[in-house]
Amino acid sequence: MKATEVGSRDTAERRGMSLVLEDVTTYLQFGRELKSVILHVDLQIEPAEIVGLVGESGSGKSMTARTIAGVLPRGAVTEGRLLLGGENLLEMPRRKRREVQAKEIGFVFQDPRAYIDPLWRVEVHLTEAMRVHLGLSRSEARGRAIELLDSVGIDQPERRMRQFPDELSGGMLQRVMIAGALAMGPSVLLADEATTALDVTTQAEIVKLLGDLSSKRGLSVLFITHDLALADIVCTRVCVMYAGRIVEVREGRQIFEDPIHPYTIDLLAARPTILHRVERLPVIKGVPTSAMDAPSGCPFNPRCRFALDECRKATPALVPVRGGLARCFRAHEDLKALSPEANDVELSSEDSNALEG
Amino acid sequence: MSAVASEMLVFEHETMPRAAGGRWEGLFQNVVVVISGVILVGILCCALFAPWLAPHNPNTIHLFNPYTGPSRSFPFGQDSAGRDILSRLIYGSRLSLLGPTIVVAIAFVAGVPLGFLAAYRGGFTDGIVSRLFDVIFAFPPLLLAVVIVATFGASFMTAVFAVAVTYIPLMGRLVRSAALVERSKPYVEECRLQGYGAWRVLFIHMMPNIGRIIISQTTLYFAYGLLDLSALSFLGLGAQPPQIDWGGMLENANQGVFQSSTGVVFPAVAIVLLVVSLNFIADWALDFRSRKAEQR
Repeated sequence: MKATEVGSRDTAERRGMSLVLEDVTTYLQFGRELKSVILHVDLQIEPAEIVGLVGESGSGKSMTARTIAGVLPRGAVTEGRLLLGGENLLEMPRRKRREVQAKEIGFVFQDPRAYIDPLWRVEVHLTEAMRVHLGLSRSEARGRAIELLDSVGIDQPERRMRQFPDELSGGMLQRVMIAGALAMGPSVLLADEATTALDVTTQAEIVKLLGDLSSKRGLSVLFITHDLALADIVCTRVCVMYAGRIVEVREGRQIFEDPIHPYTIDLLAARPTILHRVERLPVIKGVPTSAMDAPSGCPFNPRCRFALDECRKATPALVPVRGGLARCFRAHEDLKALSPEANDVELSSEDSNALEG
Repeated sequence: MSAVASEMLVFEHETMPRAAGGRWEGLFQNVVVVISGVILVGILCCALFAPWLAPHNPNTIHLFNPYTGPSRSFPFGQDSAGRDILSRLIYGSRLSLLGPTIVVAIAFVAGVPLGFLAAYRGGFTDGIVSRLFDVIFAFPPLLLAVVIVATFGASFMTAVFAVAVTYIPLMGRLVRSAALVERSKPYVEECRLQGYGAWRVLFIHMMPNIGRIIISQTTLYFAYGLLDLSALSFLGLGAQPPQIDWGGMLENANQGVFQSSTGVVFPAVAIVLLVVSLNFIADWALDFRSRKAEQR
């Protein structure tokens, strides 16, 4: 009896659903105004695929995840199409949408200690959703929770169930959070900086766990990070965000070998490398902007070394280039070759003053 | 994996919170808690078993020895009408415990839901509830209580309700601000993500997290309530004869304080002991979780 139950559940988990964002724009309410935080975002995640979303703070990574999960601040408005397994979530009645989002989308945050109610045992955190939404009895939910803990690599799961969140280490609590996100057997997992707060060893374990879960359960994973190297290792595809827009999408290692967008080119050049010594790391001049403060035209134009007049007038579309997508008027030129050797990017006197002062 | 797990175990032990201060401080705290517990249980027993514990009828008058100091048959002395102070203290514990309990219960039952409602709904509802609180707050509590008692006539229950009215906004505001802070915490967002309904989020998650503040404040309000009720009784606006409470005993004894001070000292000491030991016990009870963590 139990075996068949588990079996049928496994197939349910393996069916997977693709997540597609088509031209999604989200506005937040500031006083009486609505300001966009993400703009015209197109994104596609197939089952068992891990898609990376990288960008600076304020670039709209988290807002993209929140839009997908439907947890935006009061007064927020989302436009476009948000398709889960072909159904548009944004057209569903509110109640239905909340239910689908709660069941089908798991969310893992950077800081599990803040996102898990500190007063309840791990058992309650894991079983509550199953009992509320699936109507399982306490012992059924308990059994499943123990399986979940086991599947995210926590040993002595029975003992962990009885513990409180403050008794667990950060890495272990992150596993608990992942287990909680998987409790309803979702088809999508959103990992918002899920490994940022962990030490490198634990980070590697969590990353491996996410990869395993994705392939075993057919999860569509959105992996949000600001660590380009990590995204490159983890993801089948990497999207770079700037000022609320996706500016570049590349498969596998392409982003490192052949970046298209000037922002990506400079971003990669600004990374420290152990291959050769440099006096000073190159920087991208100016400061990152969020979508609401973005200038007209291409949002990157004030900081771009290759900007033309048209970049200030019109916003480029996301166009296919060399097996990827890029949002740049000059995407078809080999900008990296045009630029001086990446590591020789010179600081303007203005920038070095700013850095020193 | 198992190597990692065992490492985590070690890590856990190292970061286990330790009791604040040294061993002596811990011992001192334990002694205080035990003493406080004994005092509270003692007062509770007095209230429950007054007829068996009191050596005399608390209302029997001995007109020829008013304001008399301690003697063999009246160990705490006699009051203005020669009544036995010990017996009156024992009987007085009944109203002195009951009064603040009702005050706190009313403040809790009315204040907590109002505070939650204001914080959760926000906007117009919050405005109405908060302004209502402001109106009550605008009066000094004791003055408001005096006005209410003056309007409805002096009796024990009127005094209790009057004090309770002034405590509702205290409780309401506290809960409102705590709930506002709590509502913006990440774990509440996690609840929204899990698709839980408002009642579940409020009562299963937010309420227990605020509970610590509410409970500690409730014990404080109990103490304040006792003092306010005593003050009303002292002004002759609380319990009326033949009802006995500690505040009333103070009022009765203050005129003869130079003949015999026991009539003032013992009720005052009783009030202080009750308030202080209640606070210690409440502190101790609220540390329950951290104590449990230490024991492991």
